[in-house]
Amino acid sequence: MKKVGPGMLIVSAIALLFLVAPIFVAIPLAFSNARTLIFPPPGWSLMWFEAFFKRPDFVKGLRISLVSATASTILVTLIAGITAYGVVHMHGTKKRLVSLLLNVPLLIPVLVIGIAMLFFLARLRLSGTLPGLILGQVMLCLPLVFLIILAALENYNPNLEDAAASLGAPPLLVFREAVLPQVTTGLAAGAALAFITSMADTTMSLFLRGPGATPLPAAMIAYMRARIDPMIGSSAVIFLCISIVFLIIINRLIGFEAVMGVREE
Amino acid sequence: MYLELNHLSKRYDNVVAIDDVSLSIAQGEFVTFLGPSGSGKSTILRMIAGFTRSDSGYIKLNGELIQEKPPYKRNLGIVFQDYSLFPHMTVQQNVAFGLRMRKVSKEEQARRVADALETVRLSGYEKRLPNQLSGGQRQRVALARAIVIEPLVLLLDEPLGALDRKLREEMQIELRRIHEALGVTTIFVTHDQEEALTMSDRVAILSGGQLHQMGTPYGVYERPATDFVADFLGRANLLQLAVVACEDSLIKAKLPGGSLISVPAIGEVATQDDIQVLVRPEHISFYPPAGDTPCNTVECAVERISYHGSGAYAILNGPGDVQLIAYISARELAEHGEAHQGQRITVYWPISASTILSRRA
Ligand SMILES: Nc1ncnc2c1ncn2[C@@H]1O[C@H](COP(=O)(O)OP(=O)(O)OP(=O)(O)O)[C@@H](O)[C@H]1O
Ligand SMILES: [Mg+2]
Repeated sequence: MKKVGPGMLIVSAIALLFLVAPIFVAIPLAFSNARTLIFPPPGWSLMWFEAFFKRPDFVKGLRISLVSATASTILVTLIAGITAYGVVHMHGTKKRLVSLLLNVPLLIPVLVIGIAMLFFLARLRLSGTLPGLILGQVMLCLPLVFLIILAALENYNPNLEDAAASLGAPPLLVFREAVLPQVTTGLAAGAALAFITSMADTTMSLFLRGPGATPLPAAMIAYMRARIDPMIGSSAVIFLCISIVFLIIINRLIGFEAVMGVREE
Repeated sequence: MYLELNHLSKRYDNVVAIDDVSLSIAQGEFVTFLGPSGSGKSTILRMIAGFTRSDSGYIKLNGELIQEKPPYKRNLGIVFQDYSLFPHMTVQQNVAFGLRMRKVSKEEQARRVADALETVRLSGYEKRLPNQLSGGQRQRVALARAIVIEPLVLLLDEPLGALDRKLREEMQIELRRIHEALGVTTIFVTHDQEEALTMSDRVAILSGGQLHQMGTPYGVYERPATDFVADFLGRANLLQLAVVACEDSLIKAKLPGGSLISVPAIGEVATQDDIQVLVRPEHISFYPPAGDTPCNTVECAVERISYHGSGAYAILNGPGDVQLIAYISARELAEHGEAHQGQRITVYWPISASTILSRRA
């Protein structure tokens, strides 16, 4: 462990407070018994959760969010994982060029990608459908997830594959014994990021939603156009719970430190 | 021969990594590949291991063509320069890996792993992870992992490169001891010429993807085949001479400054040829050799004396801008006193100590 000075500690505390404070406003609101947004809430109840689950558009939106986020997470993690695996086996200019190209989408505002996706999906006759929405979220997450996985594979040692092979491991066992143990951490971190980004995505959803493909954030925006009430808080809490459940599942699979990029030395 | 490489060549885009290399190695031999960085040592090793395919040529191991065999069927033990231990496995699991792949029973695995760890003197470290070991210990684990499968050939790619000098010398002795104990055919890669000369039965000297010479340490040092080999191994005086007379066993040739030199004749050399001749610094002396050994003599001026361990290198200016390096042992220095800069001096070397390297018509 490195020594942390008091100055560093104060700065970290302020940054943390700043990051976390909004959550501490949203959570109490969710349990308010008021009809309007009042903070702090005058009393407590679960009425806004009840109201949330009574709205068919929200329940359906939640289901669509879960389905599309799961699908795009699987797709993105696979694509980004295989790409990053390829890139760590490249050298020199080729490596830099491919990494650069895959990061270019990060420079383009989601709004622009959303519009482009809209036209693209219309051509494929996929606009307003669930596959279209999933494709959009894949587009959204891919560069980010690729970056995370590539960073996690920085210490990837391709020689381990040769070492395993020379010791008698056929290709499938090389993959299981020498590749997988080196990449699971990166893949898990990538999957976590993909899932949370897809779940929370609003911009892309607004472009790509349709009758059978309106995820929760898009449904909430539509609702909030008419009124603003503590329902926002309760849906925020539901989102939070889903994210936490997802992280717990991944944690169960491979360890929390790995996902959050914290490692004991 | 046990292992034969035949006319191997390999290009990468615009680099020729291996250029028509042929060599053969007998069973149980300890052979070193020596060459500067980028000379193709690792590439040849990777070809033998099956990680890299040659563009042309073939490899025969124990009478069998292994070109089409994937690495996992070749049964070779490899130690990589970075050791490449599996970081998520303990020492025990690392060493047992090859046995597990061969579906050896648990009891036999345990027994053979213990044997291998004993051979590399690392018993008691079974439960450690690689990152809890020192560099030298990791190196031993890598070696144990490679020998435990009883490989046909042991391939060591600069296994001592990452160690400090003292540990390096210890491991050199260890490696020879293990080689003698197991008798396994071993190819050892290094770019350290001293290491190559002290450790090997034979040395293969590579440069620019070409095999320059393969021979015993004494042979490649005293009778180098090319000027590259002469220069790469130790320090060398490479004299450019013009042949003036050829006798049966002796060639008389002229230095640019006009001094006449005698060289033992080898190959076809004719009058008027330009030849290049090697004389090792340790054969050049300030004093005539004892007895009546036939000698060459050259008049020089001392330019600089640099002390070096057990003796000194004298940089000398001969006639016609020829520069010579002589190695003067401490004993000679003690007996005859130090030479000083600018001093005029006659140097001697036995005629038999000069070797013709190349001939240009
Ligand atoms: N995968 C590759 N792609 C392109 N060029 C390569 C590749 N592998 C090796 N080379 C080139 O082939 C030549 C020989 O490389 P090699 O690694 O065999 O040298 P080496 O003798 O092992 O050097 P060192 O002592 O630095 O390890 C070098 O010029 C190298 O750049
Ligand atoms: Mg090398």
